[in-house]
Order: sequence, then structure tokens, then C-alpha cells
Amino acid sequence: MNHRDRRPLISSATMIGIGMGGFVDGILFHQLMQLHNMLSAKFPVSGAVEPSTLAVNLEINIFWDGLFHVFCWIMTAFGLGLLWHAVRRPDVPLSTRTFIGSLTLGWGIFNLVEGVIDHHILQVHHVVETPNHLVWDLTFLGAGLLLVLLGGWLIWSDSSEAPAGPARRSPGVSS
Amino acid sequence: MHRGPSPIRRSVQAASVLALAAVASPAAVACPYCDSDVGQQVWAGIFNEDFWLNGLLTTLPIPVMALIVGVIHFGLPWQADRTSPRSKEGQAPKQVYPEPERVSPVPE
Repeated sequence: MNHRDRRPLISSATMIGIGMGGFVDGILFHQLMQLHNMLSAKFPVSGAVEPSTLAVNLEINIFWDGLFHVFCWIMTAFGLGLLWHAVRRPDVPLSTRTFIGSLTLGWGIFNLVEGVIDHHILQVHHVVETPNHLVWDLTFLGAGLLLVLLGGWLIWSDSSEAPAGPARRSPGVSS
Repeated sequence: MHRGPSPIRRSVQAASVLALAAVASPAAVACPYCDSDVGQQVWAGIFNEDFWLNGLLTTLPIPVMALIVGVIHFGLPWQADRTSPRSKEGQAPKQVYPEPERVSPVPE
């Protein structure tokens, strides 16, 4: 029986999930819903802010949001690189369940780590910049915990015998 | 049959585009908005003594997340009894694992 190593698939998809979780945060919360920005607690963009100061603070936050998106992109690209290596290994089973679970796990890890560090420890921003931001911050953490549990369960409960990468493209096997 | 522009003509076109870009680039760099009061305040708000601190605040979660992925990939450092196959791409599974006792659980 061949030893099958799922770790490269899990780690690569988790990395992609972290990057994509960051993009969800950045695109949905920063840009589309405009609930907060990267340093919106330090440079407020809502509430009683003068229009001229608001314009300056928005521009400053756009810069730091851009840097945040750069790192999300790097995480996603690095995850794709890891995934490329994983799928070319003969001992890595290409299980869809594990892959989806790892993506979910990564998204949850992003919410948990970013939530704890940025919202609670550093307090550089909150999910919603209102006086009762704690409710929203805890909801964000709760969503992260749920995603981690769901992803972990999908990975842990995966008992499929998915074929490994090179087995799918071995010569002589017609597709 | 249409053969398209000649190589000379294409070279002239490419040179024209490059020349136009070279002439126009100072105007792009000039950024009229950046010379405004707001633009200068934005610049001062980003590139000041807090620049590296703000950069650190923005990027601090990244190494933590990367560390978690590293633990998933490599395992915990104190877990010495982990199989860590370093197979090369395209290598057969039998050649991947140097420890045969791990491959065949049935004792001989």
C-alpha cells in the first residue's frame, strides 16, 4: 500500500483560502460595503469628520488597503505555487473534499488571526466603525471559528480514495 | 491578400509610440492632484515617521498566518516522528519513502 500524504494539498489550499479570505474582506468590507478600511480607527472615514479631513483619510486608507491587497495577492500566488507542486507529486491524493475543506479552513484562519490581531489587540480598525463595534468584531471571529470547524471537519472526514496527480495523466490511459 | 504593414512601417509606429510615451511620462508623473493641498496632506499622512509602524500594523497578521500554514505543511518542530517525503516530481511512490517499515505495516 502506498503512503498517501495529504499535507501538501491541505497546506497549499489553506494558503489560497487565506489569500481569498483576505480578498473577501478587502473587496466586500473595504470597498463594496465600505464598513471599514485598514487603518480606519487611526484615520477615521466615518462619523463626525470634516469633509477635507475625510478626503485625506480616505486617500491614506486607500494606500494601506492597497498594501493589504498586495499581501493577499502574494499569499494566493504562493498557495498556487504550492498547489502546483502538490498536484505533480505521485503520493498526494487530489481529493475535492480535502481541497474545499482546506480553502474553508484558510478563510477561517484569516478571519480568526486578522480579527484577533487587528480588531482586538492592535485595534487598527473594527468590522463596523461604530461605538458598539464589539458585537460585529465578535461576529467576525465567530464566522472565522465556524469556517475553521467546517473546513477541519471536511478534511478530517475525507475518506475518499482520490487518485494522486500523476496517476491521472499516466501514459497509455486514454481520457 | 492583405499582408499588413511593412516591417519598416511597424518600426516607425513602435518608435512613435515610445517617443509619445517618453514625452507624456513627465506629465503623468507630475500628477496635478498630488500638488493640491489634499494631495500633499495625503503624502504627509502616509510618508511620515509612522510609515514603518503603519506598515507593520497592516502586515502583522501575514507572518502569523504563514506560520500556521508552515505548521500544517511541515508539522510541529518537536514532532520528530513524522514522515516527511521529499519526493521529486514524477517519481514513483515506491522510491519516495526510504523507510520500508513505514510502507509495509505487516511484519515479516
